[in-house]
Amino acid sequence: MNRKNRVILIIICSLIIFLTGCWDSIDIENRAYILGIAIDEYPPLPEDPKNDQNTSQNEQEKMFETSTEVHTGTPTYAMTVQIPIIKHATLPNTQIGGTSESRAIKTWDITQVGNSFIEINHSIATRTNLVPYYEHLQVIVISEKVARKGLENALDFFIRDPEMRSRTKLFITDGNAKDVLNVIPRIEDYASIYLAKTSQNARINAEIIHWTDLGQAIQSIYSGEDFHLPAIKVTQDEILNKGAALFKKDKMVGWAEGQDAEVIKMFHNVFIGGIFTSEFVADEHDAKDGVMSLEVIKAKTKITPIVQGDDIAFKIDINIEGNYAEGVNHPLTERIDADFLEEAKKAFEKSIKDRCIETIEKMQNMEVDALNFGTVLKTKEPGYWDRVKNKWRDIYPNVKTEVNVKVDIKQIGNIQ
Amino acid sequence: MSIYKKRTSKKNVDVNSYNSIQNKIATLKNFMNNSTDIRERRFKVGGKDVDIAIVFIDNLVDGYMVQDHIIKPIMSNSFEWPTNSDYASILETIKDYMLYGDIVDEVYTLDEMSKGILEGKTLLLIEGSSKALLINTQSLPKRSIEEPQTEPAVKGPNEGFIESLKDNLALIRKRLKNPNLYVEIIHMGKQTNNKAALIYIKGTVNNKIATEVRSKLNSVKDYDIVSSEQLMDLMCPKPFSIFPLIQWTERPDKAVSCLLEGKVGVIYDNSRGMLIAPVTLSNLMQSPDDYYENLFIGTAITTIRYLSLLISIFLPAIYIAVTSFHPGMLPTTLLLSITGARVGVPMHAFFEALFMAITLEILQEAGIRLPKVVGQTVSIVGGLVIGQSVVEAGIISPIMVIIISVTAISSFAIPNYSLSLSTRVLRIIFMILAAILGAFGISLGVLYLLGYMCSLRSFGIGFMEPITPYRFKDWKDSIFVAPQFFLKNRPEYLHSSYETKRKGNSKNGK
Repeated sequence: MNRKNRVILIIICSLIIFLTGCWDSIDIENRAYILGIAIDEYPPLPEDPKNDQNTSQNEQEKMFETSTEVHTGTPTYAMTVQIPIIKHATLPNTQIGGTSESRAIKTWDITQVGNSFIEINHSIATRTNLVPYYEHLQVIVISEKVARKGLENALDFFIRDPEMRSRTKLFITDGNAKDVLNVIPRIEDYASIYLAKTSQNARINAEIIHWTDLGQAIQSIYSGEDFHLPAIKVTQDEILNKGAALFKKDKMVGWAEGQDAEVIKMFHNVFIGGIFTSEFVADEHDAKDGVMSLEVIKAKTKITPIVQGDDIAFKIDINIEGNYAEGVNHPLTERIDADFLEEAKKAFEKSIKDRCIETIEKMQNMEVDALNFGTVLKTKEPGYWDRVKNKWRDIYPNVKTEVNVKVDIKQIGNIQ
Repeated sequence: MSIYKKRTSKKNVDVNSYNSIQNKIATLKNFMNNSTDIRERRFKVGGKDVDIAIVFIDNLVDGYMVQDHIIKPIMSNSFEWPTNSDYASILETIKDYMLYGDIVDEVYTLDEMSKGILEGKTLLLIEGSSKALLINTQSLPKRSIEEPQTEPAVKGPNEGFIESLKDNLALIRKRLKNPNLYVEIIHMGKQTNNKAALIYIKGTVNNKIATEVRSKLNSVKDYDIVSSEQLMDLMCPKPFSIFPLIQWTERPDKAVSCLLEGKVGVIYDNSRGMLIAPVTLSNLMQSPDDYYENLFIGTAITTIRYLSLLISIFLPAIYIAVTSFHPGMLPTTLLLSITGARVGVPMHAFFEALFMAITLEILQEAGIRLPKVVGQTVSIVGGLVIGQSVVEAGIISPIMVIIISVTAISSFAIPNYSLSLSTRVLRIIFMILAAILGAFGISLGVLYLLGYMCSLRSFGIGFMEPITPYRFKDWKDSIFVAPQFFLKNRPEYLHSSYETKRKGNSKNGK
């Protein structure tokens, strides 16, 4: 390497400094980690029950309720961000951790209003001494009212901002979204983390929608598919599961609660665990109140479109493997043997099939293609899809379906 | 300078010109600046009236040996002297029939004589002869063989090299009873007159490496150095290299296995270690313990060691980069607990890390320098200051204490001390890069470091062999530790003359 090259190398190396630098460096404790965002409709500004005891903060909130000027138009959204107050967190082995101050408010929920989220975002920054940081955003809670008006506008900022992650969970709540963030959880410090972690239990309860997130919602919105998002409702200190919120294009049209949510999950092949119950295979014995339960280990659904000329029908094959988990009011004369299991299988198959059909009908009545039929048709019969894609919304409610359920019982329990 | 001139000017003076033994001794003493520890003893040959004298430095010789092996047999000889024997033949007779010494050399010049005396030999002068005899009566102070201090091993021999060339060579010879083991003594230093020994197995070694080491050694011949570590520095192919390009070991078993692989060793008299060239990164990361355990344990330990190398270079830098540039890379719960630990800490993560790293360095340095008796104090004070008080005072976050302690422990797990020192330097460099440029800076640094490491060559052998150039065959003896059964071939990267370890080679090199 001669002298000239060396000089050039040094110059190039020093130019690196300009690419990025110390000015990007913010100490970890100087950032406001926004854990949750709640999006509400404005007006009115959502009330803040948690801060009732804290009058000064409450007054401050009220002060901002009045200052709602925006640059263009009138404010339509109220966005609340949840920032953890690290000092009050229950951290292991830190002297700062507020063990005695268990009643201290652990989060600072800042609400600002506006009609563009980036503007709200920037106005939030005026109220905190820390730098808002969205990469640890756990949940976005959207109120039903906003969802019914359409998500495309509400989520635009969240997909464009580089600090957002597409794995962020989206929830729809029936009341004010801010109330969800106001929940004071019993175990976790922050409502956002509590909410984000509830979907872990999807492998125990099939009614919990666990697999849809920001990225998926956006993908569905832009491809014009109908989709669903997990729905919740809140009490003072608890967040309850409310099944799924159903979306047609980007607008919410209804709820799918309980069994419907289970079936939707099964049709999307994301059923990772849950319980199906059925009545006992009744014979001459009185077993009126008898219930037997199937603990599902594996559920596999195959949807096949059957095209005959211009007609379309769907064949749905559901294979379920599970354990015989429980029998309540078991008729004592019945032994759990091969014959009994055979009959139990049939009973389970029947009850599951009934549910599926019920849900399909319900969805067809609501004209929401939450069961994935359109997507299946698009991938498996692209030629036919091209012909019908413009009138699919008309065809869908009357589509014929055939449901076949096959249940396989693997275990009947440990104790003989 | 004047002394040097004096010596050189009289270097080849023939003692013969000063006939009387008195003159000879006086000249010799004068040549050696009349140091008062130079002793002479004059006596007569038994049965002959011939003056004879011995000259020696009394601290360097074994007094009993001088009395019993030189003076006694000459004085009390019962040799039947021929009548007309001249002085030269008397000297021959003394040498052939009387001296018990194992090494007896004939010397003629002042230079040779003084060198011999300085090495602890006894000079025997006889009146009227131009010749003199140097008899080996060396008894140099030295340590007994002890456990190697810088490279302890759990299993394996506990013998370590000591500060004596003779003993160190013996430690090697006794493990390697091979006629092809070649030792070449090279005198080093104009003033120190020390000896260095070049050692390799002829027929096994790659001759190019041997020649290069020899020529390097010869080129630094005139430097007055006192230890093999300085020699290592002088011989280093790239003096500004961060990594050691010559291995220093004080374990004879390691030295011997390196010689068997076809490497070249250099032992410098009066220093504890043996230098081994060439060296690769994987050599530096090996410890004899790897070979004393089975495949799985050896490989697992080696892996842990590479991991600790990475940790000790990168961990503080990654911490700085993540906490001040990319907190999004952390899991949320970890982030919240790190944040909680850092709340109220006044310093930026970089200065925090720098403060701790410097404290650690000072502590390590103090621990080495202090006498062992007081050493305890350092560890207690250091442990309290670093571990507790700093955190309680709120100057440093507890997380940083963990980071720095893990880093320090990792750097102790690196088997080669020089390499662990280089990681300390690299650690600081990477910390600065991380503080300025974040993860981008770290990745730039890693790229540069990799390029740099690949460009290093130790006596013609790449530092990163066998990882690059890619020689998968050699991995079994570097990254993995295969059972001995598989290690029958010598490492490919050394290009040894003979391939198999087990076959060895006969005396003729066939």
